[in-house]
Amino acid sequence: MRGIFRPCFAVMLADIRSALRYPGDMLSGLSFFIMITTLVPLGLGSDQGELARIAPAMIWIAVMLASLPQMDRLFTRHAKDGVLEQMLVSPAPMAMLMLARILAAWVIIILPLVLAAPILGLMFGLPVHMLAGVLGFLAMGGLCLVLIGAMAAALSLGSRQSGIFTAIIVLPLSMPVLIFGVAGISAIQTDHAMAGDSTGALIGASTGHIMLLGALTLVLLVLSPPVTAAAIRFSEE
Amino acid sequence: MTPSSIHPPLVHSDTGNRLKIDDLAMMRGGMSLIEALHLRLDAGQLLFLRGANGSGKTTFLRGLARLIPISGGQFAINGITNTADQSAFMRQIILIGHRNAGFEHLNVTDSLRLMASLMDMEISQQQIIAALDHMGITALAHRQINQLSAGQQRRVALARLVLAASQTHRLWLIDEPFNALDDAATSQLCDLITTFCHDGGSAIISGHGHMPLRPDATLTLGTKPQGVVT
Repeated sequence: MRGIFRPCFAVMLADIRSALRYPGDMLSGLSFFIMITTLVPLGLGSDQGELARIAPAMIWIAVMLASLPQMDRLFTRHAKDGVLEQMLVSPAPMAMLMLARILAAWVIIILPLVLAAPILGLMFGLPVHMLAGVLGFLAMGGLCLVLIGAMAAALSLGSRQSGIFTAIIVLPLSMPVLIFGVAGISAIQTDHAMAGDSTGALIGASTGHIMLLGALTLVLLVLSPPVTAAAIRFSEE
Repeated sequence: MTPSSIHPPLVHSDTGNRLKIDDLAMMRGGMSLIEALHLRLDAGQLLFLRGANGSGKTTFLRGLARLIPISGGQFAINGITNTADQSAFMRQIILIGHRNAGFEHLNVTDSLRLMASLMDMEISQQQIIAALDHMGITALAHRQINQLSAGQQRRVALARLVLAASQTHRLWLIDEPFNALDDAATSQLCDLITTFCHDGGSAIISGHGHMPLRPDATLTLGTKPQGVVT
């Protein structure tokens, strides 16, 4: 087993290291995310109640829009320079290598957005004690988005309009993430309003949503790496 | 039509074959590139794969690496057949393709270390330095892959072979290694392959026209009639 994990770990490390060395992609996603989430409150005016009501949907849509362009480029570079080919002829299973890349993509694409979210949540008038719950939803939903994005990026490899193709695949698949994510964060709001609780723990209706999101994540964790691997194998033929 | 030929016939020992190809057929884009190919390659033997552009050299090498499905026949490397378990099979080969597989945003050392772990090898810093030295690129150790010239990137790709040279059981599949190389790098690579074969390793090298090494046999694709060598 150790023989399998070492190359996977090496792939993950290489992805993260190269993203940190050239943080341009990472920062462009982050700035896009910040742009959306600051422009909307500015445009809507300062009604705190209204902003707090649309905050969950706004944050989720911003995460999706900011991460999609980066997901699209997940494999293009390495398809061109032959790194994917070397992964295919590696003794390590391709699906495991792809899982490693997906987890690295989560760190590179989603984590900066998750870390920026609390500041933006405050701009939308989300109470501080709710932020832990919001971060949990974003981190888990973000993993779903990367798992979906990796499949879409692999399936659209080699197509010239890969951007459009990726968007078409990602859109329907990520709808459940948006629905459970938004409903979950809204439920945290109502739960806390009703219970008067200030611990930041997930209580009441929001636990149901995070469990549904968790189930979706587990299904995608099993499904996405082999589909991604198969799509890349096919594109390399 | 059987569009491939092998010259001269290879001499074989009684020990098991490194590579054993039986009745192999490969198609590409609806065209039959290889048909009814029989081939035996023993430990220490070097096969030169020759043919014009589009004759199927790359297809053949990628087929042997199981990247492209074959349309008929079978092959085995060290007795591990083409239908065997992926990880067992991949431990029998090293593929250096057309593309150099340099990890663009990493430096040469980190990129090589990643490639080594993908090849399932544990290597030390000293081994990497020795490999870079062998390919004459010690000075590039900390340069980014994307800052290198085409020839330098090719040298980095070929440095993987230096790292893998101790695993003589692994069949080297090298696609046009002499492209983009200058004279110095060409002779370094020739030394490397000669030593590898001398130590009992086997390699298949593709190219067109002149080959600076003396292969044990030449498989010419896109010609007829076909020679069967067993």
